[in-house]
Amino acid sequence: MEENKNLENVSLEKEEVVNENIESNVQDNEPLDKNIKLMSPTRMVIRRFFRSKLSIIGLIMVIGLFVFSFFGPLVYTRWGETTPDSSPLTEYATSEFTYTVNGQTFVVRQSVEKEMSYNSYAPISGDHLLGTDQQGYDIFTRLMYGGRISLTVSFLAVFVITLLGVVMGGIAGYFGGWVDNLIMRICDVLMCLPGVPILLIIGLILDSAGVGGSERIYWLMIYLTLFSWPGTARLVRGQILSLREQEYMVAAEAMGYSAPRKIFKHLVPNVMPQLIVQMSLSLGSMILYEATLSYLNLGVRAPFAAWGTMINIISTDPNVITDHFLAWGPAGICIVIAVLGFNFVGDGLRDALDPKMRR
Amino acid sequence: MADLEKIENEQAPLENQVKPTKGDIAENQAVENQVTEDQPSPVVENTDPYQALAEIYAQRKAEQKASDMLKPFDEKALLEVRHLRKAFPLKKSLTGKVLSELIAVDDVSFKLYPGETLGIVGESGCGKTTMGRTILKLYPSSGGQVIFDGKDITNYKSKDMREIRKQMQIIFQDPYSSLPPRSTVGGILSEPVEVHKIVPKAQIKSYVLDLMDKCGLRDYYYERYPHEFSGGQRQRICIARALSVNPKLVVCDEPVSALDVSIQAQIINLLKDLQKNMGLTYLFISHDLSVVKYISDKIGVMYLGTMVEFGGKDDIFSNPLHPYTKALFSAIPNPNPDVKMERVHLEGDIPSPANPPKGCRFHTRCPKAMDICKHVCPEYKEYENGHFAACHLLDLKEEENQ
Repeated sequence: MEENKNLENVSLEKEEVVNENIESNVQDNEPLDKNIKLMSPTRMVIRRFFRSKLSIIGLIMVIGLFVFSFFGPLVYTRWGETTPDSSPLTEYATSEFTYTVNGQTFVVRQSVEKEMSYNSYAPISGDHLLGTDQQGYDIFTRLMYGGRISLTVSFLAVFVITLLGVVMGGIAGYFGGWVDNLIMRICDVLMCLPGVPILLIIGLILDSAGVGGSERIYWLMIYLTLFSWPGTARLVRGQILSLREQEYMVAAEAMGYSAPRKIFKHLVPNVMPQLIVQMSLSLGSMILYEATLSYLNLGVRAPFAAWGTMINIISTDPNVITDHFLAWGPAGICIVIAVLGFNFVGDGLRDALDPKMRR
Repeated sequence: MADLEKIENEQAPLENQVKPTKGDIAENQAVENQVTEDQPSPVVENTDPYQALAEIYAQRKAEQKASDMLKPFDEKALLEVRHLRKAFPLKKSLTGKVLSELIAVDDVSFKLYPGETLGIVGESGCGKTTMGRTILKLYPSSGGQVIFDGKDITNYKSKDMREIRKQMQIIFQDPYSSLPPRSTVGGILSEPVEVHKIVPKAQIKSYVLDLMDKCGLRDYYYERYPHEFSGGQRQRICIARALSVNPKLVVCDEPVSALDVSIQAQIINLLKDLQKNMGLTYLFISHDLSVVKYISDKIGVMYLGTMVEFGGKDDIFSNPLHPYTKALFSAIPNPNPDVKMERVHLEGDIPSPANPPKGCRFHTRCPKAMDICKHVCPEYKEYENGHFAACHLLDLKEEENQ
């Protein structure tokens, strides 16, 4: 009997709760508590983003690299990008030869003193946090400068790619018809062109034009930018094709808004989630591209530092890969950290921006 | 004004040419009578006795249309729709020629005077929404004229339309998809005010807050996002957005059908209050007859893209002329259990507008269909003062009376 009563109570309570819910829904004019500040979509995304450990790690990696590359050289000014450690290094080489002449054994000890004008392949020490390379450049310092150029170049490239992609994709998706056809065919053609062979040719052209040092990479990235926007344009076009059928776009049409306003104030903000993900993922691939180009000696060339150029050292002397890990290892690790970091952030953003992931 | 007179003068001789003479009509009726007499004989069936009649009707319709299109605009009417037609191409040949099309709205004409509410009713898929959107030029029309406020806007370019846009607005059926998800209520409501320069920039916020108050929205909703609201509140936001540009005409495209009944009443009353205070004219599209009855002054009944009956609310409810209207009204539930309801059951589904039936479009489901209905499209004409309908039965009755 008592149990029943309890049950009744419970069920009654439940009903009350349910009723309250219904009431708050039905009473349209009932003021909600003014103090309840509901979260804006952006805040919700940020919150969901920080709920994932992987994306926090990614963010730390990316921010760490940024601070390291852009503020590092300001703090750690002991060595410059292209100032070799020219403290003379005296290298002793001793060799021993044994001769047997007429049953007698002679041991000849030879000592060669070799004086080098710079401190190459120095080990880790207080002077050189990560040692030096062949030319006596401080690797730690060059990593920072290399990071600067890698990050700057890939950010610029991704920014321009996104801008071009949004404008072209937006126009194609919004207007449709022959405009859409034209832009999409241009995209198809650009996507057909092989990347590396053309980059090699451009590298040769730059050689003959006498463009050297750190400028080359910008020219190559301009080429890459011009040929990479179709991916973004397709993404934006696809999204806009589905968004423009939404009723709020019909409402915008009924309001008599101009086409640019409709595209860039109503449609593009709704493509932003996908765009941000695409941007952070393509940042990683742009860093890889930059490293590849520099490694192939097409991009940044010595004496200027880039992560790819630093790894390039192994192609000059095969012994480096086994004997001097410090000359190429840290640069490779930096590339891995950067690409991983951007990909983690991209993945985290994709999950955070997905409206179906309401957790 | 001078232009209008000119048109009128030019048109006078034309009209004489076009109008069927009395002799013609007599002849037609003779043919008609003959046909109805001939009907039982099975021999005639193969030769399609109605073909001649159908041709005469079609010709008369075309002439009527041609003369209607040249008539001067009704100056008192806010919105005049003449023979509006909207067809969506289904198949196109390689050269872009339309091979088959879906006729969503066919030959719809009506006038709407300032301050009135015209209710448009009909089954889903009968072209109500398409008609509303074609009138607003959200879809390009495929024929006919839309005259808004004394201007023929049928062929206006989108640049010219921008001025007209703020005078005619639309409220959508689905309050969930018709609000942009990424802007705040304040942003949604102030954007049109800003674009159309309704008030100086400094006053926009106070204007918007005032508008929100009128539509029953609290001022602290200003910073909130649409997803934080219930359906009823969202619909209020939609109404506020439509009214933010001070329109003269508002097309309400089933504004309450996505809401539950208690909210429906609130929204309908809000619309009525706003109409009284702001002098709005509504084109109210709905399939809910009780809602339409409550809010409308005039009612148009649509079936498969055509207007089958049009008239004052009281006329239509007390004396529905068209069998479809009768069937529709017989479906209204009566709260009195003692009254035996005489329900007219319609059989089958609404036919596809891509392949509409020949003759009267309703004949496949009409309980009173005659042979003539299968072959000849009835004329849409005025039977009582301001009460239009299109049905052969009414013609028959008229003949009997004569």
